Amino acid sequence: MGKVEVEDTSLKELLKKLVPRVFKATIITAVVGACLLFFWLIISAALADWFPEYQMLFAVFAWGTVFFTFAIRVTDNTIFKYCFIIGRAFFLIIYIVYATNGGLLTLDFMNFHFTLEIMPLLSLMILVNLLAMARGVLQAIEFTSETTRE
Amino acid sequence: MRHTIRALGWGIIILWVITLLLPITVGLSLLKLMEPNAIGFREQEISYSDGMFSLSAPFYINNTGHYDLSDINVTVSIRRKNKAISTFSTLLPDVPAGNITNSCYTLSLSLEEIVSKNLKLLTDDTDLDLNISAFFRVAYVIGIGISTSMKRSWTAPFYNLTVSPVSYNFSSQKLSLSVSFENHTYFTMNGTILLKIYNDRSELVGFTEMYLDIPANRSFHDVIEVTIDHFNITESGFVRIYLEDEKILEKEWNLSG
Repeated sequence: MGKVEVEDTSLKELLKKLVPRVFKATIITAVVGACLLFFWLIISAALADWFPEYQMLFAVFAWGTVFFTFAIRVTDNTIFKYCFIIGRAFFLIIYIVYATNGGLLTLDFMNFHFTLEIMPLLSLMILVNLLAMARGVLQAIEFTSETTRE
Repeated sequence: MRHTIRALGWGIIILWVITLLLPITVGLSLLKLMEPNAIGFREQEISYSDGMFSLSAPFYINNTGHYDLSDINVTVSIRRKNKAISTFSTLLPDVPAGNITNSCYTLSLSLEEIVSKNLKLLTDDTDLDLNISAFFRVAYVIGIGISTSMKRSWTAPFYNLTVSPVSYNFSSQKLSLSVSFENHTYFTMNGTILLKIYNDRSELVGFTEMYLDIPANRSFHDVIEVTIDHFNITESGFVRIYLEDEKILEKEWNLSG
């Protein structure tokens, strides 16, 4: 009987900690999702005819952003938060390389064929995300050392 | 460690701002290039001289954008019925921001090239398939390429070139040949043509040279007399016409018909 009471108490405490966190994460994720939806509505009208692959690419980016936003908020004050920060940076690297076709975009419009070469810009974006991954690692190390001290 | 994390954080923010601002400002710069007087072409010149057909296209670029234009390369590929005739590629001078650059794009096609790739271009009007592509860099970072295909009519300088024997004078040993063609081009066709007469044993029996100067859209028709080696002349054979040492026509002749 005593063991069940202890378990009920710790479950209640866990829910007490988790529910506000999940609620807060849901609100923030909903705001981010609304901004992405608004951005999609503005851009899709212009790009749908010229760049049909845009919808699939944007959907992947939007769902990835929403997922990582929720996951980072929910795991706040835990080591997992920094794992998700690093994971988000890695996801962005893979996504940017795939979405930009390695920095070489092509478009056919009327009788013209356009090519956009953005390899230096792509390299800069990859560098930024590598720095974000490094920052995530340092933050995880700092969090671990602070937790150990406590 | 906290300072390092903070510095990394600021560095990431600054780099993201640069990464997002650069394409936006490049896009605004390119919009200025799309204005009506940003790129213009002056009067084109088509000419023929010393075995070379030339198209000269002067143009200007008024770069009112924010960034320099560099690595400007224009390539023109000419094909006829899926057969490559020639490809021209030119690197043009850089256009700094706020400057106007005047330049000239020249296409040159040698007679030798036409004869080796597509002899029919000299004697038949036709349509050519042009593939024009241009590439340039904005701010030395973002490269933009544009290409398009179009058809362009080609007018022959020796349209309907015809050679036929008229008569053979046994006493003067002269073979009379009727030579005619139409210059359908926009320029004067000039140069030295050489007629070589062969018998049915492929032996050279006579030749003559003449200088042509046929203005644009004019026809030429003349009876040319060639002194023949009387001992080797036969009833039939073939005649070759050369322009600037390039054979442009070979046709059989027959005195009886």
